[in-house]
Amino acid sequence: MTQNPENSGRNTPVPSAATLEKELEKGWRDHRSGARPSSVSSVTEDDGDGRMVMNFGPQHPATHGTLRSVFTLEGESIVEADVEIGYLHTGFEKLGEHMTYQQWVTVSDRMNYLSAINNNVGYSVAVEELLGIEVPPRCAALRVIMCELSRIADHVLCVGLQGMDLGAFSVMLWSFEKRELVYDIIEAVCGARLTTSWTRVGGIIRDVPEFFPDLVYSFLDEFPPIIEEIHGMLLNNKIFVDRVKDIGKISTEQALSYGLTGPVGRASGLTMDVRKDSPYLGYDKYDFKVPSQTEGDSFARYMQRMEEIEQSLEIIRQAMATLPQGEVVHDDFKTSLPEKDAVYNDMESLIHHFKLVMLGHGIRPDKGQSIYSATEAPCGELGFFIASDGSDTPYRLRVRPPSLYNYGLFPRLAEGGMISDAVAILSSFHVIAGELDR
Amino acid sequence: MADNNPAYEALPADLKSKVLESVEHQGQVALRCKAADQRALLENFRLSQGYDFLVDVTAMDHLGKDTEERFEIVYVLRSLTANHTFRLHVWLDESDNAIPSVFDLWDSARWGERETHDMFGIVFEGNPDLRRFLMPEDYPAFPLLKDYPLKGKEERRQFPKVVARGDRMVEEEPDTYPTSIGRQMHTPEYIEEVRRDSKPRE
Amino acid sequence: MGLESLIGGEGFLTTTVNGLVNWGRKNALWPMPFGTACCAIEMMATFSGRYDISRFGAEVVRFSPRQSDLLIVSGRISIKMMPVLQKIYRQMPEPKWVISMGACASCGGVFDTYTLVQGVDQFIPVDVYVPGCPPRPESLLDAVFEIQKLVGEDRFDSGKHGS
Repeated sequence: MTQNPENSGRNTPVPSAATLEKELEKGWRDHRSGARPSSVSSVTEDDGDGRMVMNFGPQHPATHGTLRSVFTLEGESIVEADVEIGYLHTGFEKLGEHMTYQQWVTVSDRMNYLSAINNNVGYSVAVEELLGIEVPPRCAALRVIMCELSRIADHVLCVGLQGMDLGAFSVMLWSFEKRELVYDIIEAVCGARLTTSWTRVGGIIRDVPEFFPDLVYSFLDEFPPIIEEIHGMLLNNKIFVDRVKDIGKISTEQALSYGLTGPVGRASGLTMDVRKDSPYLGYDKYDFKVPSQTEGDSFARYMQRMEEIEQSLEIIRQAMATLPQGEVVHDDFKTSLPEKDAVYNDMESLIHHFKLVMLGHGIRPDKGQSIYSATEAPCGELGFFIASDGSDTPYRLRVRPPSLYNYGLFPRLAEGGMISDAVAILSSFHVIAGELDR
Repeated sequence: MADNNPAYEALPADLKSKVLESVEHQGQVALRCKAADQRALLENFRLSQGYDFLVDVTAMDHLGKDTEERFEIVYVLRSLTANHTFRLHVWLDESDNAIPSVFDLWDSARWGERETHDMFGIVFEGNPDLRRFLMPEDYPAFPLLKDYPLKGKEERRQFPKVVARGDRMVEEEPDTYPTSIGRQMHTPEYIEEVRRDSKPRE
Repeated sequence: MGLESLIGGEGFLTTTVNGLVNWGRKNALWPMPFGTACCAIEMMATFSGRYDISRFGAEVVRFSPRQSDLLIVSGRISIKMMPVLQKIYRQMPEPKWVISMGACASCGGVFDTYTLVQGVDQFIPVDVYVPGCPPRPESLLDAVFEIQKLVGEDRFDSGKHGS
């Protein structure tokens, strides 16, 4: 692989017109004789076998953030694909070893910023499982509602971006507009749009506002038409359909072996959903289906996301209808933060709060305890492996990011296709760089 | 010793004796074994028992702790048909930090092992692709080791600085460059060099 | 009440070359979105329907640094990404302005870790910082106004931005 020469143009002397002409002439001669000029920006040539090595990313609109792929091309077909990740490596896992159990909730938002609430909930559920505590029913139901809202927002955005990458720009604008409906609810509930930090270990930060049901019900009324609209815009778009159908086919065996989860895995017939297989937060109380497709191509992944949105709406409807009243924080204040009101007005709660937030106190699982706990995030199975050494910070905090394992198959899929197929495949995978690199 | 873990129960007797201990916490079982027995156990789980989904591969560093060995590799295994998940913890000696790869059993191990290598410096023998993963190729350390500080060793400050001088922007070079990042990538010599220069132990 | 009412009957307008150039520059900023993480999503929200940055003439998003004059660094910049960012900054033609959007790009934010550059201003010049984690779209719009002010005050022959 060759590095690109510096193209800054500031410090190099400007070549004279005659030199340029000569170079161009030589380049054309080389082109005709089969040897192309070697320093075309971002496209470099291998040693004369007609193959080119092309860098795709890390800063490219179709790479969804900071993914970088290196394609070896023969003409426009990809014969060899390699990916380079880590451009957004932030050190979440190392940071987890230096933060208390409650503090890390704040950081977990920034991991998958498209569905921050699912990260918050996934992490809180993992710590709660490690400690063996169960949240109150109202808290669980609220978490489910917010998780599903977040999943809808994530899927809608993914479909919009998929459209954008394949030339249907208006879908992206529409989906962003409809995402704002979800953001309005999230903002009303926790005050932030993206980085919510909404949950705490043992509960949520505070109960939802009074007008929360109105917001959700109006969302439930307003949202379903957009599914039809998006379908209408994309399924009637011959360019879109032709570019995604039969592109990037994944067999069930492949999906299983590479550890694909979430919509990508389910679009390949891998009917695995943590919500069904090992229900958390009372997901077993809700009646919903886990849709799955058999084709395993980019189109199936699109259809899979749209069907999952419908199921999420169904879950929200049921959860809203059966939303229990009561506390939203687990009542053992050795592990969960008391509500702010109580902290200010009640001596005992103040002491609990103090003990929880002081460094060296806080939540302290027993030495040697460890747990792998998974939840279903929009991208797939989001797992946390937490090991404790008896102190108030995790000894090891491992995140099993769905995007990482999903993306592992991408270079194999891209090989043999065209460059434009690689874009169609990548956009259907919905890889979040923050979660991929952590 | 293990009681209610179907994966352990189904092991043949000679492999059962290889399992050092079995810990259960909140209904999830973790088996432990030595590095020498890792491959045999995992092969049994995959090929005989149908644990067809390798959920995750990761490691832990027990530097300065009173544990059997320094490293502990964690495999999270799942059988979709039985809907059962458990973990296999493998003790790995610090002086011989190499362990057989299992990428031929599960493809997901390719990247899981690669990341573990990148973060801990553990070598998975046989894995075809053990380049740096998340860190730049010539990063001089394995960041998740316990003796590596959270804030690093000032690698994050060493970049050329673009400053205005007169009417143009020029680059000021820093005094030292531990990471050059823009060098040729992925060459075998380079990987060799990184391995040589940054042993995971002090 | 547009420009024509100011020009008056004869169709003449007196201004300085500087004023005319700056007027053109500041109302047609072409941003190069260098989005990596959460802030990139808010930046995209700013570019799309509800917040609609095109009301202020900065909607022509160019992913090629050679066609843009405003670099919006949004998101965490890791040590692996920093050389890329510098290369992109150098590839932008003069005059150019830089917005450092969000806490992570401005100072590292909550991530005081081994891999994250603690503020891009250590390595490239930054004109406007946007606080927030992530900043709301309104904040980014405000930063664009600040850039417009800077552009308006600029003397294009002063040499600050080359010539």
